[in-house]
Amino acid sequence: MFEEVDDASRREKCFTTVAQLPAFIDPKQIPGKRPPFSTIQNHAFVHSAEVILPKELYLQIKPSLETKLEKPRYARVFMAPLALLEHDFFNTYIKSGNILMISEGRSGSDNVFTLQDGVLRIELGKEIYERTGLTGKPFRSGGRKHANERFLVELNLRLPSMLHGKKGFERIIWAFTNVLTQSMAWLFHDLEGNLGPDDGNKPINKVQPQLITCESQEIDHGQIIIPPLYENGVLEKMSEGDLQEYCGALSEWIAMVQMASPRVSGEDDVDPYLSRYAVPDADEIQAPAASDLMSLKWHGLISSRWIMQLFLNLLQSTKASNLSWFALSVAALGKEAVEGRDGFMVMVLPEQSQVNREGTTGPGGRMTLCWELMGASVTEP
Amino acid sequence: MTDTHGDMEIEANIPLTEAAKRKAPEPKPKTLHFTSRNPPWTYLKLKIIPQPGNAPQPLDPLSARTYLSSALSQFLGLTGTAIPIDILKIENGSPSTTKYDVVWIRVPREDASAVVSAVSSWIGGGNNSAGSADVAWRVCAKGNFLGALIAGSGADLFVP
Repeated sequence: MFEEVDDASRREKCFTTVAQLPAFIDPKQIPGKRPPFSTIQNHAFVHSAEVILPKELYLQIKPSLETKLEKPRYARVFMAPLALLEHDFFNTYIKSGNILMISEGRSGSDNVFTLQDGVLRIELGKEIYERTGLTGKPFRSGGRKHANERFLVELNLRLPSMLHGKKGFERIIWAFTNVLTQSMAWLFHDLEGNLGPDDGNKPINKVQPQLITCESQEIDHGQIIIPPLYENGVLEKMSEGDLQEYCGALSEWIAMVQMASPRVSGEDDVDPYLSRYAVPDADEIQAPAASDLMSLKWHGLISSRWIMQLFLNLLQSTKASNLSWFALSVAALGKEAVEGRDGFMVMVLPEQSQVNREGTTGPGGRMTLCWELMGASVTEP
Repeated sequence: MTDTHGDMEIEANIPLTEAAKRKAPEPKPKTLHFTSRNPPWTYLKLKIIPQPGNAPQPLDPLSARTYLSSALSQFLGLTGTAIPIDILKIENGSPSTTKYDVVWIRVPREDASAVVSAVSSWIGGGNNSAGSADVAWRVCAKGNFLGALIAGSGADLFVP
């Protein structure tokens, strides 16, 4: 009606991929260049993950999921950036180990630190950036044209030159001693070792960490109307417009289940004055009108590696049942101010019948839909 | 200003003609990619802010709709009330802990900025038909893809 789309809205995007998974996936050789695997790997810092699946299926796979999947563990610490470069911490976790760290703060307005694969990224406002004496590059902040610029400093701490006593390294120490001195809250995850209470002598324990184990939370969604989940053949025959519409409506439905909206319940009788939301293609469903779903939720600092394990485990354990589908929804932490990644959703459809229309045996891989989202504006949790 | 329609990109590598020519070998797994920039809806998470000294009733769908209509008609007149709004969910925090009332709505994407302006500039008076106390709206989240908004920003993890 009004056709005045604001700037933030224009930058929002959703990359959708419809793909057939290989019939067999070797966990040691993940096809990491293709979605959904590449999508999972591209989201290093995750704060929430949720799996939605039929309740009946969940009850079947629950035991195997619980034994095969370790709980994500992380620590919350309060420290100044200089503590990263302290000998023990630096050598154990950055030079020889592998950790994920992320500081509090909002991209676009605060000083934000992330550490991944030995690379420390620091996002700073112009004034403080100039005072640090570090070299960085301009960084989009989403501010108005004449608002202060922001800068991104990237330091690969695993370079051979990054050693105590070397000139470049001493410059970082100077900046952390004289300018970026403020203590802040960080989340810490050790990709190599478990963060158990028994390892009392690890360097992280010197900064009084709060060790957290992520427990999963089960949520029942009773009597949910499920849209038709089309087979490969049907999806291929759809026109481009129909396919986009179907994929869009399906991702919306997954989100509606996640938020536990009464609009997806079979018992909803809302007045059309209040809502005209309808489950996509609900009139085409011939199976039972509504069925029980289950969601499993994790909230904490979660690595992409753990998400991959979760995904592979789900693929493996839901294989046997031929009516099984699941959706995985993941929200990224430390989103950048402009066109930042919000997260992604993956939906794996039931195994296809082995015999396709021509009567030949198909490859038997399952269809997946993958949505990568970026650019939304979330100001409050 | 700029054309907001029709810049969906389609990139598909399906061997369409090949399948007709020969049956075997089976074509490789097919992959379709596309980018959506202009989906039909914008989603908003709105929180109701009671004015100091007032303790309004917990929010229900009908009063949420009434507040929204009031904001839209104040800002845009009759045109405003014609904007279709779908109420997706009402969340009420328990009164014992932190009390909050949130409504998730969906509006046509083209109308979203008008809705945001209308709700941000509105303060409901005590004189409207729902008998509301003085309240205002705050926009907590806005996006064209609902999946990006549900889990929030994760900022709560940093708070001990």
